[in-house]
Amino acid sequence: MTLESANTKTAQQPLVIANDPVSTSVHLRAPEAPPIGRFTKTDPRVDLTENKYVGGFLRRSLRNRKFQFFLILPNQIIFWIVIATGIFGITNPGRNFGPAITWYLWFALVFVITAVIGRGWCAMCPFGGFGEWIQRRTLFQRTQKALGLGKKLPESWAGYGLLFSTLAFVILTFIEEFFNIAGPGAPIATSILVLGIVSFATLSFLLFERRTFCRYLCPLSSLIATVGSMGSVAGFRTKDRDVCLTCQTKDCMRGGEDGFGCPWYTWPGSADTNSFCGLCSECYKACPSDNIGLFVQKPMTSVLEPSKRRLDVGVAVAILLGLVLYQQYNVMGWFTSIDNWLNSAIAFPHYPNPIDYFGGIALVVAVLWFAVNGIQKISSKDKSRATALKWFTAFGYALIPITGFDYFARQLPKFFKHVTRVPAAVLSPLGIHLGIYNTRLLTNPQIVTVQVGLMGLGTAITLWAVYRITKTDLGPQSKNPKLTTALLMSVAVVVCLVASVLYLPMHAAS
Amino acid sequence: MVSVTEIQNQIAPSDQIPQIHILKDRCSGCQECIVRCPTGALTLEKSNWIAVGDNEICVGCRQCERTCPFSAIFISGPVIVTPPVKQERIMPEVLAGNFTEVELGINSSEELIRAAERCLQCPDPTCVKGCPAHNDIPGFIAAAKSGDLQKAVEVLSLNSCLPGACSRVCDWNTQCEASCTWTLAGEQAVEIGKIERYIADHAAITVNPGPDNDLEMAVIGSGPAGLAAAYELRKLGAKVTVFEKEDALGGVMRWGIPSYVLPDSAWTPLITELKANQVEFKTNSPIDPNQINDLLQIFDGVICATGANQTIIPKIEGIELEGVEDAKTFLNMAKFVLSSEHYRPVLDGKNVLVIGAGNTAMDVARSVLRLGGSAIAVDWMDERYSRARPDEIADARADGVDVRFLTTVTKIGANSKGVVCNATLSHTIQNGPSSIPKLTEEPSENIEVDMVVTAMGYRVEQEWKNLSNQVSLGALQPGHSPVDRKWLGSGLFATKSPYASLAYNREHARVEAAFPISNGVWAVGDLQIGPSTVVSAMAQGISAARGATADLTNQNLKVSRGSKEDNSKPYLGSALIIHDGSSRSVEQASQYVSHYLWGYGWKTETVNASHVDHLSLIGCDLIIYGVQVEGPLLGGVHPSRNAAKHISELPSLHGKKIATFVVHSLTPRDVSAKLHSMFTNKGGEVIIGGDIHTRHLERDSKVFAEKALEAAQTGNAAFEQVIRLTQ
Repeated sequence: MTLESANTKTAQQPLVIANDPVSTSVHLRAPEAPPIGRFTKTDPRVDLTENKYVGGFLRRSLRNRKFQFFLILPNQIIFWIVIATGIFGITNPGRNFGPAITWYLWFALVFVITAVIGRGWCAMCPFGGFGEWIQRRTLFQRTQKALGLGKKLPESWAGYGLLFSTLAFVILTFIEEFFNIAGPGAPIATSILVLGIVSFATLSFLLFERRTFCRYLCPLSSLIATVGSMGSVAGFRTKDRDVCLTCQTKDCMRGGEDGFGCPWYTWPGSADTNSFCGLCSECYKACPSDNIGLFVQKPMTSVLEPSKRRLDVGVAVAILLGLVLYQQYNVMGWFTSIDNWLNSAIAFPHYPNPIDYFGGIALVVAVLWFAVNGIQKISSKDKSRATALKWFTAFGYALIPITGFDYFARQLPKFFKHVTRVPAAVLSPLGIHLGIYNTRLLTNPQIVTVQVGLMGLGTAITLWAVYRITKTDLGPQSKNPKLTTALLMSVAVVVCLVASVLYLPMHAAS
Repeated sequence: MVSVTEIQNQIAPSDQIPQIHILKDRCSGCQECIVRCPTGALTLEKSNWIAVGDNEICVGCRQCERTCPFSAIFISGPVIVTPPVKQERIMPEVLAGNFTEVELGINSSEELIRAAERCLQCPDPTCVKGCPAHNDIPGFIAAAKSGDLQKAVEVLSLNSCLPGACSRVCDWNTQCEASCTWTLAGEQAVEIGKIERYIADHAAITVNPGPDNDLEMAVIGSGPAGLAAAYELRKLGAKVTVFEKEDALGGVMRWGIPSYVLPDSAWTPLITELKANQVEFKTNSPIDPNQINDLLQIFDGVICATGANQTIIPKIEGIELEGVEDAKTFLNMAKFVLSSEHYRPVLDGKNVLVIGAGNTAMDVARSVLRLGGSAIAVDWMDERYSRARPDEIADARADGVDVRFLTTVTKIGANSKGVVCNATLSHTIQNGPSSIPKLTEEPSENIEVDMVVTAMGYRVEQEWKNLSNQVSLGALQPGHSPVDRKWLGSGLFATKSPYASLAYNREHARVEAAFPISNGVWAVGDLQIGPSTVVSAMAQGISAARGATADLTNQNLKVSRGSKEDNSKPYLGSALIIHDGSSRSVEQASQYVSHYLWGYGWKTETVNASHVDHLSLIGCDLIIYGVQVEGPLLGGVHPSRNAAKHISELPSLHGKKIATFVVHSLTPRDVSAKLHSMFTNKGGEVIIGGDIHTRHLERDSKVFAEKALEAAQTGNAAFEQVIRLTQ
């Protein structure tokens, strides 16, 4: 006899009628099945929990309620040390552990994690983790009652999606530039910044339900959501969509016996991007049907393939691109002159001037909007505003790679020039002086080479993304698909060229 | 993404129709709203995979709003529903000697149809969960609407046998009607109780016994729980004998509820029907708890439905005086006198003090008025925290009862003959719903009374209480109850309504009632959960009858393995194989075990612990429970978290044979012994424990299956001999 033969089931009429009379009165409407192909391109096929090498370990780990706790704990410890050393440590920022690890290592590392894993950082983030511990009133257990008001983000706010997060990032960067926090400047400034974020996060967790802070308000959320969509980890998704569609409990959303409802407002049954999966594994724990897996996908899948594109993502990419370009040209002499002139004109104390800061970002967004809008007017069959927004959104997705690479390249000088200060800062309080404080991993010309090389790679991926997205999303709406491709590619080339070439006169400025 | 202007435009209220607002950012297309929308106003926009609404079809019931897991939908604007059919209550001007029903039902078929048309026929009817008996409310309302009352009563008869009684004495405002979609939307509910009453009054319930299942069952008590148990047992094919200690049948329906609330004609037809279908009733046959074992010599099983019969007597000076009666005695007398053939104004001009202002006290006080007396009812609780039905109190006050809360009796005085003549009333204060009221400094009041009736409710007699080990029902705790998790998907439970919590706890009690309290013995109704309602008692009676039949026939496994030909041969036994759902290996081992048992002629059902049907649990010869070993080796290993939690949530498994196996990849240590202890605490009899290594799943599972069968058939396996299959 084989196991297969034993699996043959024959239903028998029970002699006693079921003791669940409710079910006989429930006549739920049949759910709509996905149209053929709706999720074909975005459904990843490699489930790590089924992998013969790591599957067993992963299944056990993900089921364990301490999984995320152990991811957060080390970062939590480091971040409180950062705060403490920033306040009580020595005032030289390079020798102080707090600013050194934050700005020389962490900020660059986050981009690597994001580009590869998506929201990997969010799974281990101490800001959200701390707030969530308080909100759930536990470090890792499945509790039923939350602390705080448990409000929902007002509908009118939530409609803006990632834009509040983008705005928060823009404002935070302004503050950081104004006080020269990431320079790094005075260590206590880093502490105050981190404490400020922790306080804001905790307050949000006490005011709103789930991870409303992380999804809508966190300054890093939009950057991670957009850049992370290049990543190869698709997140937690359904194994069999039919099981999800007919599931009556939706424990993955509402919370089940062993797991909370998705803190990120994502349903594994319909997720077609990794942008909003926080990799917290709660749905995996909650699912009563063992129908959720941790999937990996080809890089760029969440950029290229989603059939549901979000305007807020497109706008966020444009703003983030404007911001990083600002951070590139702000080291130029001509910009300093403009900034100084504006400051004296409006009596603003010093760099950065809010007009050129916000104006510069807005200019990039406006240029991109008018460029894409113009192309849409020329090439599209439908000239409506709604279609223009769709084109802008799609093009925004295509610019994700160059934006991500630009942010990463912008962080490299700090990393290559000063990362050795991190071990030095760790060891010097212990009386160990390694003499690596001023050791650079690369010279300035080498750094520029790496930056330009990375931007070249980013340009290539971006152009490929423009080509693919134009072909699948915008081509069918165009009168002349080839012309559309050519025009959009031209805009993308200009953007990539500007971003790349700016690294040459920057001379690896950090 | 939705712009602010768009949302504002959407929110701009239209006075005419409800407006559906879907938050596109958060809607993930799970379709919880779509599958539950009563009117079909919601569909899925497949290109974006989000819900879209049609305002023209929406009636504003907000079922979607309540069930959306991510709060991504909300409705603004009015609720579109017609007003209910209003029925007036009869408030007789002269109460003395009046024993006609106070509450009027629906008067005509036109009114019935008008009331029934208000029902939305919700795809996920929250009212059914609110109904303790889980009547298919949309089902019988649809039948009633079409004019087919016989079909309506057939729908009712699936889960109820006393619709006439339930539709009169149920507190709909905390049950079905509290859970009606309209109520949850802030509107007036469909008049479910009135519709049920009309059906019950115009179409008789029938028993229709099933094929003989060779069971001979005894039911102790003929109240709602006992009658329901007898009804369901007979329907399932058992021979039933009902023992009643009194000389007349009906229990609390006969002696505890006045006829102006519940006339005998509403429930006695059931007894006639049961008698006509060979249910034997033995009146004047009190059964002592000690005699249950004797009954088990004659019967296959005993369902105890003895109720709560002992009146609570408060400790008050003078409580033992002549002229102080308990509620049971008084109501029994009142019921007898308040009938056309026996009526006498026995309390004419008498002043009666009723201690208590709960439902029993209101029945007593209103009966006093109908017997010609006047009544004062006092309760030391604050009216806000009282558990009495507000409508009962309002009716009593309308009748002329002087109901006083925050008042207590501190002394009952007697005249020279030792008969009650006055009582001292003192004022109390209660700080919160759970705090005990305290006496205040306010001066006491002395009133003249001719009679005092203690009506603070009833309790189960101690001798029966010891037997039943009453179920303790805590607050709503999803995830720690045997109640089906599907319940929590319903909009009822998203409302945080106290009625949702009540419904959940009632369901807990109903499921528990299916499980025996000891071999062959079930406890239901007030005996199980303390003084409760007629409908809860009836629901538990039916549940116990189903549980008893499943247990005693062992024929309720839903799925068997093998082909159709194999089903024709008699099975040697039935096994429910439960795997803890924590690892693939345990599931696979369960399938191997099932496979081998089937090969040996056993019927099996393999199921994940989180999907165990309670009747399957009862209705098998052997439970096989497989768990994964978890925990760090150095820190000590234990059964998987899933298994530990599930086992702790299982109802009592009195005398059930259980075989356990643990799947491990290094060492099982003492996990089998831990399982043994966990199941023994649940009353189960663990006959064997086995250790299965992940590397030898098939081989070890086979040996385990053989040993388990041997132990189950011979019954002499000692658990101490845990089979170390891997050694």
